[in-house]
Amino acid sequence: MSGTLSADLKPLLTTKTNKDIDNMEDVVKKLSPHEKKVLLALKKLQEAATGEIAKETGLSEDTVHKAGQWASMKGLVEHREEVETKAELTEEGKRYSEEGVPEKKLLEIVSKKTMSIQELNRSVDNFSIALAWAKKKGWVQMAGGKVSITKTGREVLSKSTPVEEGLRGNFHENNLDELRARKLVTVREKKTKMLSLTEKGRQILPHLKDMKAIKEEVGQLTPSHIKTGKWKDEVFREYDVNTPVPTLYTSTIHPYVQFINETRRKMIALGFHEMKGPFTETEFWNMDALFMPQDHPARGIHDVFRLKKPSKGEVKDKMALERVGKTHKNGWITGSTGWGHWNQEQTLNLVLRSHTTCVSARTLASRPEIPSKFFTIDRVFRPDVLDATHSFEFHQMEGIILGENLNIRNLLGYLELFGREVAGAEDIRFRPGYFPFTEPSVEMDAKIGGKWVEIGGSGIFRPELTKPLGIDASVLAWGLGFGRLAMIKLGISDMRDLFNHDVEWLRKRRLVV
Amino acid sequence: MPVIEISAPDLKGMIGRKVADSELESVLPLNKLEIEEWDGDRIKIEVTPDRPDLMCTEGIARQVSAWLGIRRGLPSHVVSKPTISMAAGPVKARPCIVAGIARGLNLNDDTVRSIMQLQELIDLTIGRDRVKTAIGVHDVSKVKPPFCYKEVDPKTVSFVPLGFKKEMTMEEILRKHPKGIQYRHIFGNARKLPIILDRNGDVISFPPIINGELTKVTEGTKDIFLDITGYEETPISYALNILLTSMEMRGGRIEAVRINKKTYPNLRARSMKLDTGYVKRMLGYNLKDSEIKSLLERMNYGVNMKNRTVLVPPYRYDILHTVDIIEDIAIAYGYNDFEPELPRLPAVGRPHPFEEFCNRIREMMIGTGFQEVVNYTLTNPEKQFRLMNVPEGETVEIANPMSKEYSQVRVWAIPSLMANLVSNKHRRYPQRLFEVADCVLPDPKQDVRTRNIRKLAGVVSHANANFSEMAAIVNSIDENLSLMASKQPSDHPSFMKGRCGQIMKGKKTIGFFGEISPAILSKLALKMPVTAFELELDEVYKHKQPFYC
Repeated sequence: MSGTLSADLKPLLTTKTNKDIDNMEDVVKKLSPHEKKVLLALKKLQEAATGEIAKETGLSEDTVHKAGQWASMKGLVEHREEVETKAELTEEGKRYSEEGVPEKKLLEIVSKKTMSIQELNRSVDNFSIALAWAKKKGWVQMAGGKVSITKTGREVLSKSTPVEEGLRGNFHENNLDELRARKLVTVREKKTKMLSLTEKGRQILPHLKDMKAIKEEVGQLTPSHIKTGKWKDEVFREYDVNTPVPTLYTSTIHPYVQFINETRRKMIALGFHEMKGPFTETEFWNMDALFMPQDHPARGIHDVFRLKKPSKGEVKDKMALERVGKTHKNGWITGSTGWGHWNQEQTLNLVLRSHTTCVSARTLASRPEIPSKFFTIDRVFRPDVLDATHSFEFHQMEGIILGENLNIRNLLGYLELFGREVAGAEDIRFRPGYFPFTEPSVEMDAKIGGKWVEIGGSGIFRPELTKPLGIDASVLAWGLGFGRLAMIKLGISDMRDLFNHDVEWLRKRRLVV
Repeated sequence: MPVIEISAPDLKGMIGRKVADSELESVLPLNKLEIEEWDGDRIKIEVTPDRPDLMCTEGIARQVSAWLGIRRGLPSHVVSKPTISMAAGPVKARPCIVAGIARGLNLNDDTVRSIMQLQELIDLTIGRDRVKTAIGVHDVSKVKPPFCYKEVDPKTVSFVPLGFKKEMTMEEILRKHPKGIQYRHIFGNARKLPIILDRNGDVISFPPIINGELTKVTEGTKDIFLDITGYEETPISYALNILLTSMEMRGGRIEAVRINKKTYPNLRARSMKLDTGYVKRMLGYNLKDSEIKSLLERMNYGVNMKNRTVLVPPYRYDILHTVDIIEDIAIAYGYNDFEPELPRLPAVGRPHPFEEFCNRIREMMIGTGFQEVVNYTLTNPEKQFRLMNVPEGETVEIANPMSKEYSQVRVWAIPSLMANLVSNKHRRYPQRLFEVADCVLPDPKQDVRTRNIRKLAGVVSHANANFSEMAAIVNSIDENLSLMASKQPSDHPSFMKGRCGQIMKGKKTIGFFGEISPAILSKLALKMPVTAFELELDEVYKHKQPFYC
């Protein structure tokens, strides 16, 4: 389909080569009337400031400036900056220019007679300034509280010093620094942009019409052009395809959400039914129903967020509550020894769920069909600091498979399937592991991009978990470190970037496919 | 997960045949032992917390040797008759005690280190940090039997605690000694505290806090006395068994200790029935009895196939149920030697309808020109209430937050989007952001006393952002969803007066929109006008129409 389309279009689209563009006529075609006017003005003026060109062409200085920039991008015009410094006497400078500089006045007095500092202080205005500069310049010397003239001092007595020249308006390299430092002048810089033709610019001059013959070109085609048919009489400006324009960014679904959705679609395609559960949970569903002993270290304040308000919930499924309690205490009818203890008050404590396994437990208690398969990808919470590899809030992916007489080979079969289909692993290997709620437990490593990574844990739910929830079948359970997988797939090395909301980053993100 | 550090040559010397490094490297992970680091002679190994018996060189050597088929089956233990007895009086603060002796040890550095590490890790894992077990290891030659375990007034007894030079009373130890400060919480407000004394009244141990300096174990120690205290007998007995059987592997002779009328340790293997049909169903292979037996023996079980019983080694604390034995059979079989097999399970895959609905909403927002963002649901009152100029409402509050920054769950989404605008202040405008945002509201009617809700929220910011533009966006959402909602003027402290509207479906408010108050913008140092809307997706979902209508 697309093949025939492009074949049809081909004769209509002629590609222009660089050679054609170098052709002078072509260059001229691409010039706007403003650029042409500037070029013609430069032909006459040679090198000129934008202001002069504006006068010559009748364009505004701003327009000349822009047209000059366009022409210089095409290599027709070059520009340089001329910096003009303008010095002006300050109030103090003006006073000195009338009254003379203090150090010279001091010099005149001591040239007649060596005098003490006290005497001089009385007879010279601004004595401290005068003395400091006269000393710095080596005009006077001090000994025993007396000031006397030096040889250098006598030499300059009748001469005009550079500073004095400056005060008369004669500024040069030798006096500007000192005048500025003494705050006797202020200096302002004025920049002027000087334009001139390049070799290429001079070459195209013969192809330009004269100033008056340049017809205004039309930029925007308007509804009125179309309605009145006037477009037939207009000359429309041709555009340079490479003229820089701002990029128009599309908005996107957040890359992490795209990845979550992509994974959801894969799970659904594998026959899994999506389940959901609340963020806050009772310890019952988050731990007790999973046969985690009530004094298990992973239930402590360093591993689970407890709620201050509200702090206690209830368990509506009274039968599950009773059976789970008995299973903890003595194994109930599950064939287990149990943990020997269980406290009903503790099971009602509210927590932020620390894993998605509680969603699986609720699903099992809801009398699901057998066989069936469920999954969820959702947020869980743990007391952790936020850094490149830890977060207090992250996503877990979890699934259960219910069936009669499922075995460890079936578990490994599913893990292999997920490893390849969902994680895109090149190879898979298994290790024994430990989770309080599964036995046997399996850890899975996947080879992704040539590197072995731990990607998930799994196992067969213990009878101490399934029986009290009313399930007689076997339940295979697995969870993937979803954030880690997403980081690999999205090429992210900092976990916080999964929630990145920098619009510039999002605008430039590649689409996940 | 607990991590132990052991000597590789020491371990290899105990396995029973020559084992190459590469073999060890592949065998350990197949036995729940993950190698963290291997640097010259030192190996760091992560042990799963269910196997305290593997938290030492001796236990690992025993496991690996059996798994490789070198020393298979139930290990035998010899316990000689007690020569030392201990009178244990009622001790309310710590009612249970067991004890045992290992004689004739030849302790070198590796042995001492391995045993001390084991003792610490048992106290940390099954002991729940010395609460359920607290182990004391002593040189028994320094004290005179019989011993006694009793409760005393902590002001009346003093001794030199381990690692100290000066005598302190028990009361002083709790106030000043680092271990006293660390573990005194275990006693609660008990007035009388436990102590172990010898015949002369010399202090052996002040469990679970500290031993006396008197019985300190050194390289010259030959005979070790172990005391283990706690609240119930099961964990302390297993701890004793694990330690004594490990010392036995180092050439120690186990000698029982009589406590009142009982003797410890009890190293008789526990007998459990084995349903071989269950084993075969769980493994997915029709294994012969002899194969099952051989696999069990490679995990140190004793097996009697005639009456289908399994003898569980006395150091295995983790065997609660037949499934635990079945996992061991699978480990002996080798996890990577199973042939994976996908069962044929007819099951239909279905997305959660609300998730799919939310995806349609996302597509609609992208079409409206909004960029999606994702934010944390944890927040704080400053961010979600005070900065937004609204009074603090009912929220879900965390009792043990890691920082003030994330101390409660958000009830609305606009504050998160405002924070996003703040962090994008130097990026190009216009900015249009939206989030399909999980929020949690208190709800006493639910079993978890809260309710998850989803909001759709959006913000628009640019030099000419205004009420009319946002009202037009709300119109477009309304039409897209065939919601037929109405708008009503509203006062909301986050919005400018007279520039806020409520979105109503019938008499119910399902959302709001308007121009954010400049007072808020200046607090956030935002220089561009901002308009915002928020809509309750759960409410919208109730009125959803098929998307093709």
